[in-house]
Amino acid sequence: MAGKPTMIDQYRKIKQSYQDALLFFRLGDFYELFMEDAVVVSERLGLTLTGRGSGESRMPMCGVPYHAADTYITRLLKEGFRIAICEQLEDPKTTKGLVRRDVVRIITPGTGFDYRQDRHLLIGCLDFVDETNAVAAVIDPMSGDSYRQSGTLSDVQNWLFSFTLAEIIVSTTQTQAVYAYGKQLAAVRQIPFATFHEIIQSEMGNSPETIIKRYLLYTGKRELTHLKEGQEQPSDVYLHLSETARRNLELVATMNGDRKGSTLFDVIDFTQTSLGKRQLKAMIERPFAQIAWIEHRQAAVRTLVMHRLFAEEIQQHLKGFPDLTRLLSRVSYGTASPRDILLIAKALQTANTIWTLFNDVPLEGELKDLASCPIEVQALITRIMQTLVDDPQTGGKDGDIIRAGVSEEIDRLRSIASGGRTYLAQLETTLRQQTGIKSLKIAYNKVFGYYIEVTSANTHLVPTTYERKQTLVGAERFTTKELRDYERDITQADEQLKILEAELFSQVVAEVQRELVALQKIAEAIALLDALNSLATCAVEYGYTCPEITTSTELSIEEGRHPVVERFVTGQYVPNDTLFLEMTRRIGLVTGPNMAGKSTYMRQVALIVILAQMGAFVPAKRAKIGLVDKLYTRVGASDDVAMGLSTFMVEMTEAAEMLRGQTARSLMLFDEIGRGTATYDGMSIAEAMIEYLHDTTKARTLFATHYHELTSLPERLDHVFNLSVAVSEKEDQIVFLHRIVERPADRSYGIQVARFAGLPEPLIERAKVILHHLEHAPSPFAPQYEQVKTLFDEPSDDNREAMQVLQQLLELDLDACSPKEALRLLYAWQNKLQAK
Amino acid sequence: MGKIRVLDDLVANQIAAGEVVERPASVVKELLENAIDAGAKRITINIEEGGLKRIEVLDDGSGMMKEDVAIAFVRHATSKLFVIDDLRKLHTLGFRGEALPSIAAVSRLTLTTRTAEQDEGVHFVIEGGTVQQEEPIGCPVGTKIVVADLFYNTPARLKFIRSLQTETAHVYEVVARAAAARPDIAFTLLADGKTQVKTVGDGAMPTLFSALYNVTIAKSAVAIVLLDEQYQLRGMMALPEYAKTTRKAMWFSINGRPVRSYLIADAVLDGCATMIMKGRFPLICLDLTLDPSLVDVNVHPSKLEVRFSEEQDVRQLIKQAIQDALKAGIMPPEINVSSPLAPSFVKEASQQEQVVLRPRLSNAYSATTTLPDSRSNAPRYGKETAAQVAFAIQEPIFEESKPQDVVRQKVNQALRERRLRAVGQVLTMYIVAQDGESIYLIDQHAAHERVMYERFKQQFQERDHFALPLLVPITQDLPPSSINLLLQKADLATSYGFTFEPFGEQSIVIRTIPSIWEGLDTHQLIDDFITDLLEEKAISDRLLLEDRIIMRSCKAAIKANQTLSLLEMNALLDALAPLNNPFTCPHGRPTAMIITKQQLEREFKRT
Repeated sequence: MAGKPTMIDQYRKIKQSYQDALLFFRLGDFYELFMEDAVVVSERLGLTLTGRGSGESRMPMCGVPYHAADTYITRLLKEGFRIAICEQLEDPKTTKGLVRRDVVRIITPGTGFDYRQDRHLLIGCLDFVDETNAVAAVIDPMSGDSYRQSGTLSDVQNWLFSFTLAEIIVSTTQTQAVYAYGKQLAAVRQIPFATFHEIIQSEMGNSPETIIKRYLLYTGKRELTHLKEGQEQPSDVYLHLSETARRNLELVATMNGDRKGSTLFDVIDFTQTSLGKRQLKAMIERPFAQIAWIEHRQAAVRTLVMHRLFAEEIQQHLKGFPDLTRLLSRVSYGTASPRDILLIAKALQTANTIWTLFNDVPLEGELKDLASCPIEVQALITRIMQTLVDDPQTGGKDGDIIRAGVSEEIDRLRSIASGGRTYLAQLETTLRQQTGIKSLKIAYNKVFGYYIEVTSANTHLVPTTYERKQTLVGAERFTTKELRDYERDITQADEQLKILEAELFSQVVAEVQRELVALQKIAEAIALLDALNSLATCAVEYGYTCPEITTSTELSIEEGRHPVVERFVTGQYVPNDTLFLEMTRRIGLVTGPNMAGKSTYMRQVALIVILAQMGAFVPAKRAKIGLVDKLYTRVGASDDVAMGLSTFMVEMTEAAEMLRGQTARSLMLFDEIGRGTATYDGMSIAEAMIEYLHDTTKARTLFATHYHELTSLPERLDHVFNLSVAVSEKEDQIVFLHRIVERPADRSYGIQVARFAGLPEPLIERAKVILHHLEHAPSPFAPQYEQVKTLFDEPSDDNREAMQVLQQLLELDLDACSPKEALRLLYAWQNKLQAK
Repeated sequence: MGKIRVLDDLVANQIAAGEVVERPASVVKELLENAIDAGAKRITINIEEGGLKRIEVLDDGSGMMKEDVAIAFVRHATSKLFVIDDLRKLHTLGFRGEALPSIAAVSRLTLTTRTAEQDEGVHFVIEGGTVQQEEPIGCPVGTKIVVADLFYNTPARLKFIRSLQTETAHVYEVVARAAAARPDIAFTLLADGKTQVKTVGDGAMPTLFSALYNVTIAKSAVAIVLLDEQYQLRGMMALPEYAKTTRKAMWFSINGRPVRSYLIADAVLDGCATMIMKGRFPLICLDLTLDPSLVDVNVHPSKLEVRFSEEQDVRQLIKQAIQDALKAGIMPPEINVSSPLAPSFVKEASQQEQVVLRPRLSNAYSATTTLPDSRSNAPRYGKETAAQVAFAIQEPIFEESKPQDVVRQKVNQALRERRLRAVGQVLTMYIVAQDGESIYLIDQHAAHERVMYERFKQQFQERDHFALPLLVPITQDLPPSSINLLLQKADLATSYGFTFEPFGEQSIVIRTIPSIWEGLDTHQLIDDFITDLLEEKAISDRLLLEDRIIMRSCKAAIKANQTLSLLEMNALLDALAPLNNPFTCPHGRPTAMIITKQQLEREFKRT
């Protein structure tokens, strides 16, 4: 196409730079998409696909109205699309030719936090040289928080996925190996993956942190003042939780996605603000591994537990506290509306009030730190409240947001505009007198503006100076020079007003920007306060107590309860003790029927440790926790079929990782190792594992197993002890008592549980018989037993007696036996056998 | 003579039940006492349908041994009392041993319990007074009793119970009473799923107060403490301004046992003396700990009534403690005259500032898991206090300021007979009038508002209003979105006589207004009217909108700071006379106050 560039040319040029995103091209009141974008969007959103142009050059087009764009963008975002917003940068009314356009914002699954109020979005980036040298960073685009960690690849990877990421990016400046690895990691975990095309490495260096920051600048298309300094997270400061442990313990997300309200977070969440919720989640995801930090938080929680009125008052003030972090991010991204700014002022006022409450109570620990956060924002609050009207209706571009009395010029223009209108209304009276037309009206509509309306009957009285504008059925409309002059003044004043008000508003926004860092600190303080209050409230409501954290490797819990399960069993949850001692009790073997509470018990121990190391109170009568550095679980049979691995393989891989990484301070929970393979194999591996743990680190372990044979291990391994779930038997019916007792299970109860589950009776009886076979075939007697079997038709309890007799016979030393003795024994044996 | 037969157990129990188990609340009370005696720290009560369908009491106390359960359901068995002598030294709550069998006789009862020594709990099903089923079960240490289908076999008793809500209210009282006596136990009461009581059990009085009432009341409440060799008094009382008109919120206990005692109540009221309005009762939780030999609790089967051996001492002690607490807790002082119509105050000429109730903040936040040891500071029992202190009460929080009938009649009469004549205006706000018997203070603005309100209401009802065309149309600036909204409601506005049209991008021109606004400040009224119209709610309720219009019109009545002539004042009084309710303005504030001759004579010590 020769000649001047058309709009389509403009579109194509811009689209070239944004191949991997849907380009929302602003045309007047609509965002239009063209070509493949249009097809995709019309399909996904169910919008009509139209076209532009004709004949061969006709291209598909699909659009959404500007005002309603947000909902559509949200939907597309949820489906994983990236969206580039291209705006008109000039006023079409004043430009000749093509209006200048450019992309002002790219919305991606990680950066679209304003469209995803339901989720907390985080962006992650990984880099490594080899297995031992890796570094990763995570940034929250909304709050600006930034974290990083370096170490071995597996450690760093584990740290990276301890966050719930919304997007993983790799820059084209990183190596091919990193790209492939990152892509695979994201694919497996189903996290959106983005390639950040960078031409050259900037001087900022190439750490993951700077890569993400550059990505944010690229997608936000502006300088972002709210991004904070990255914090290095040394690996020994936080409790190490494996990915599977996090998932299995259902800390912040359930394993199968449904069953709302049953994660640990759900149970202890008494927060009032979204700030607090995010903070609480972060606390759960990252418990401490340093006693000083734990006690620091405990002190704060304890203060709130003891001073209930203080805590309740704070809670009241926090209700309805705006999402300050989100509002501040809008200021940084330049999308803050007058309403948003007013909400910031209101939030700061509430914060002020809350800070005054701090004087009434002796503050400890984290509360004390919190209270010392500076809060000199009165000047800013006043400035905002005095400049903006109480209830701004518009988004800031349509005026009517600045208070009267703030700017002389604005007041003057307003009075011209409204004064002009009043004048016109009053002009009506004057004109009526002048013309003698009693029904003369001055009115307005969008098309013609102001006009004088006279009924047809009176048209003859109209002075000649009036210019006819419009004719209607029963009336005629006129204008005069005076009217037009006034109209022009009013319109000009209106437009000037809009510009001026927008200017003043942006000044206010700039002032907020200047204080952004201080305001962010206040937001952080409020988030922490809300989260601490939540911990205190749940401690009081649920009857939790304050645990003691020690440096030994002891772990004793008196009457511990599972924090989540106990909420669902309303009052009937059976508490249980836990005891690990330095010397004699390190590895606990837990036997007993399934469904009797073994898994719940083990999870309970883990959750209590996590709560304790979070600095919170725990569901127990008393707890003394020897600091745990790493918590591993091997619970449940989760087949990662996606990875192409079988249950057993997964088990072994995880177990391998656990055994590699454990220290004397670790806590290990194994639930039914060896299920996915042959019995003897599994049992051997299990026994060997226990011995390994025993002989190396003696990490505190709970080993739930269905291999009843292992209960003899405590006899030769000092630090191993037996536990089981108590069961009450009454005429073949079993009742689960949910109590953990200090002895091995009597039997395996598998058959009883099967009957309980509803297998047919004949099957149960037959199973019993087979069991009896197997139980009464200890290795030395296996051949003998074969013989015995042929002697009797049906095996029965008599066999036991018979076998005892046989054993005694075999063991008899005939050479040392006198005839008398021999006869005596013969009599005895006959008696025994006849007694049946 | 074989006519007299020994009643079998079941029947005997049912008869006893008549005495002990009157209603669901009695069951709850008995079960609660058992739970408390078992040393529970957390007790949960769950009732359905007023307790008739189901009552569940769950505690974490010591639980019962299997063997004891059977015996417990035999009449007169109790673990708590051995010899009558023990009665005197009694510290536990439930000693009569009648409750459990009586309850079991008139309900379907299940009991699940476990002691700490056992791993196995036991579950009993009891119907018709005998054990039907017994089996092992896994459960935590403690006891759970479920009383279902109460009175299923005594229809006569069932008929007596009329309202489920009343029964629920009675249960609430029982639980609240128990909770108030034991701040160290956490009580939870759920009625049909809704939480009615939830205390924390941290032993601190402020927390308890907050749980029973709310944070604001708890923050400003005063602590009551008095310790001496024989008696220990501990409690908390809300400020007199929160006083209620019923005695129900006065919770007393003796040695941790909830009681009702007129003696204690009277002593408390004595202690409050002039600080509280007549006919009002403070919100208070009070526990008196003393040697059990000084009090007799065996007075009534419900164990609620008690008798003291040293009545006067107890009375004096309590009165003293209350007085001290109030003195310490509130900033004094001002003499006041409390009027029967509504509280008012006649300021002493010397006092300039306004008196305000300001409780000491430290009270509010004292985290007391143990109460402060105030032995050193506590005024010795028997010491005379200083001169009487009183203070000014501002308007009562509860809008139950109904004038007492007698006085009201008087005022009414005076008004109607036009005996009320204005004497003058004071503070450009109040009209002083008299009728030869009493002095009246009339709030001119409130009174005029009431007059106007009645007038407008009448006009509206008689559809006596119309659209008043404006001589000069008025323009009003509004954002475009508001204009659109308004246009949608144009018809409604027109029906009130308010017509308008758009007049520019951001303004409208108003051509007619409701006729009742004639002569009033139109700008404010227009503003308010537009605001009302824009509010969604007002539109759906026509009457509401009407009322709003009228209310606002009243605002255009005589303002507070307007000087009136004697003629105007009398005209207002005359206008007030024929009205149905001349005593409050449409917003609920009082219009008139009275100071009777007797009051004056009393204050001036002429009687």
